[in-house]
Amino acid sequence: MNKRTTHIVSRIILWLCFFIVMALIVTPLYWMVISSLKDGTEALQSPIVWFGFDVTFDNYVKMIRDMRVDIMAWNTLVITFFALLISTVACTMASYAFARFMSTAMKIPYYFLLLSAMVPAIVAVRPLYDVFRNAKLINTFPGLIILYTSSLIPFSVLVLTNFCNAIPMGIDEAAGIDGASAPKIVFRIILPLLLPAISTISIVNFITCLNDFFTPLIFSEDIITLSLGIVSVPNLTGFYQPWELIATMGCIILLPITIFVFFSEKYIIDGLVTGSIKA
Amino acid sequence: MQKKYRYVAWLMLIPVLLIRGFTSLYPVVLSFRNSLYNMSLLNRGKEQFIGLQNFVNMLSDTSLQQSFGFTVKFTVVSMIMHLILGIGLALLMNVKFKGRKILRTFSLLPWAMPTIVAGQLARFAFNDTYGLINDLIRRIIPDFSYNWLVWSGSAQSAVIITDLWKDIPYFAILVLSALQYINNDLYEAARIDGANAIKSFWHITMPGISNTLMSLMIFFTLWRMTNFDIIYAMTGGGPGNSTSLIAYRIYTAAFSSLNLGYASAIGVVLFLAMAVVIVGLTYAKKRLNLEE
Repeated sequence: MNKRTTHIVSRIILWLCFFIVMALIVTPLYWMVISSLKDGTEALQSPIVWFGFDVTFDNYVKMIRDMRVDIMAWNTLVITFFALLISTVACTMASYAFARFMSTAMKIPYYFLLLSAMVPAIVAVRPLYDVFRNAKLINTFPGLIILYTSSLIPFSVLVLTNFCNAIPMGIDEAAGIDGASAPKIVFRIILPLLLPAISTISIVNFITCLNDFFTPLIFSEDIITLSLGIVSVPNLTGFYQPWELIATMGCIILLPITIFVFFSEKYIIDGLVTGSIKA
Repeated sequence: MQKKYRYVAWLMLIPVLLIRGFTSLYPVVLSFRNSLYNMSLLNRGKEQFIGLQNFVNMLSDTSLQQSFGFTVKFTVVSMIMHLILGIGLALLMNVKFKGRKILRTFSLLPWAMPTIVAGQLARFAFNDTYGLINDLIRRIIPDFSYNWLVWSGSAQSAVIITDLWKDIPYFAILVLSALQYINNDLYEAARIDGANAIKSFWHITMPGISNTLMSLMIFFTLWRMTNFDIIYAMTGGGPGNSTSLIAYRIYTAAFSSLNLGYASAIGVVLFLAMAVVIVGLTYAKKRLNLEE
């Protein structure tokens, strides 16, 4: 075999692998999308009609009208917004302290925060549930926001501390000589420099919040989030599992996520890589 | 400035420490305590110290042992497949060709979607009559019929396959970033020395990414051990107990059968198992670094 044929063969194998992987990722998603656009009987048809079926948006109308997906989206947004806000402020302060004032004593809280990420939610959940019930935080926005915020802290502290370490010390020393107080140094000088890092973690944290299912499942009954919405679809039809409606709910959840992924792919990958590999 | 602001630095830690302490440290300590008490629904209000009795009871709980068994199987099989397919996909994404960027973007989709959605999707995909999987099989074998989620072996495989679909692309993207740190000159030098692709994979690629791989192994193994959403969405632990991962088992013990002491005891065992995995893999990682 000469060089040229080897090259062609390797290209063919390459593209073959490419199409197999793409098909594996896309086919289930495509099936979900077309099922959401079919009416109930057609969605359960076999063999599956892949193209050229009657497109209907009835399922979507039904989800908004009967399931109040709009309220779920609002609930999710409120919780996510405050969790991102609080975690960003709290973690920026903490990361600055860790980066600038690290000492043997301060290693204890630092490693405590990182190791606390290893604690599985399932082990902590029952005692936490009782504490929250006594504090009347079950089924409330503040309660959910505390829990979501908490779940974002270890990853955010890790990434932000890494970034703070990369900011030269001279910058805050100069500000300190000019008489700026510590909070002022953090919020006026360091924070703007950290903005790229903050936007990176915010994107990853946003997806983490959207995807959290376990927390609302346990700690909320009436504040239905989008993730919780998909398992409450069967409530609509009584006992059977309406695939076309569940697929519709899946698509509603997936739509913003897909847009997000396509527009901020680079940031997401940056965030994931700094969060896991440099750990 | 350093000394003057040292106390301010500690003050700035207070919010995160309070939140994390309250939501993770405190409940875990409480879980350890509860594991030594009899706190079932029957004797509510008069919990009773019973020492290690909850742990002794676990030894004779065969359905719990089944859960531990499946958790081990799920974790080990899934991690092996993660390594093989994940590295493969990462290598594919590392080749310079036109499909590379599209592949990377699409690989983020399974990661970005909620596990609960992927699980629900999988639950219907594995349906006998109208599911996607059987539909595709029937295009080759016309009368194929098999109810995946009704039989324990196939239900377990279905759960593992779904987990792989959701997480391998993510694993691959992280491996990819490690691949990109490897100096291309090394491959060039190896090629000139007459090494073939397989040889340079074992002698350049693997040593180059082994450190990252070990870190990823720790995280991904722990996530497998505590997976809950996928079972809740796909099988509800069934058929029988065959797919009830340990996290799902704790959930049912703590919130359905309301045996809190027992649930805490299972949690403690899971926690210790995770600690063993962390220590073991960290040790392996250190050894690997020394050898190089």
